Amino acid sequence: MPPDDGTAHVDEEARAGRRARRVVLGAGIGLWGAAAALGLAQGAVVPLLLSFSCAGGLSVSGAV
Amino acid sequence: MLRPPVRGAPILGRVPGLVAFTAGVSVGGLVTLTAAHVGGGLVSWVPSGVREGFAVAALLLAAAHAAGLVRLRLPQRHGMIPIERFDRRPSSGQWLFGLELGSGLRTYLPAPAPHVVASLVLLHVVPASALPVLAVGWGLGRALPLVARLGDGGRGGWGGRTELSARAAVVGTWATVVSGALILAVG
Repeated sequence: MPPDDGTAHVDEEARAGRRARRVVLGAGIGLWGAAAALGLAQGAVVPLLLSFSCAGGLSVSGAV
Repeated sequence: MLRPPVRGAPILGRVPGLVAFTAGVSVGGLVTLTAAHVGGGLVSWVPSGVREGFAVAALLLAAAHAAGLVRLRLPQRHGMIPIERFDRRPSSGQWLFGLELGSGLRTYLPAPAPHVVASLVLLHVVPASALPVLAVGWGLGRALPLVARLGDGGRGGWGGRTELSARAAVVGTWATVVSGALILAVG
């Protein structure tokens, strides 16, 4: 068995960090999708078009 | 051609970065929209017919601007988001960049379309229940060029093969005006 030089502990921390980021990312995507689904279920298709076309035009024009 | 200041990992071509950016834009937009809605509460005593009249005026002004009939001096911040946002880890840098970009308060707004959306929210023409879906649409729209560049991460930057056209801002403004008119018409 190779001697423990501390890297195992660092790897474990990195894995935990990645796991936490995945959980946060998943929760964020879930909430974001829920907001979209809720809005669309209420018939808010036109508001979606309103902000999408507004932001899309700005982005494609290169406004950052 | 404007290029955002990118250090380290490229902002484009990676799904986690795209998600972080889109989420940041949506949240930033939602904060501004919510503030506009709350601020609009101060004039909620104004009859709805008068508020809708102001909304129509905003749409007409935006349409005139898009048609080149008038040149509006739009309220906006004349500056770019600082380069230091990307000194952090890639995902948090993209999240922060998205948050600031999405707020609409931290950078250039060369077209009146965002002002139209803000006006409709401020005048309570758009109900509070539609604010989350507005924020989602805002995030998706802002991420459009990044989606087009997925898988092209090695190139980095916003330029490259993507031709960024000033005409897009005009088309976007017209689409925003039509959508706003539909909201007013449907009530």
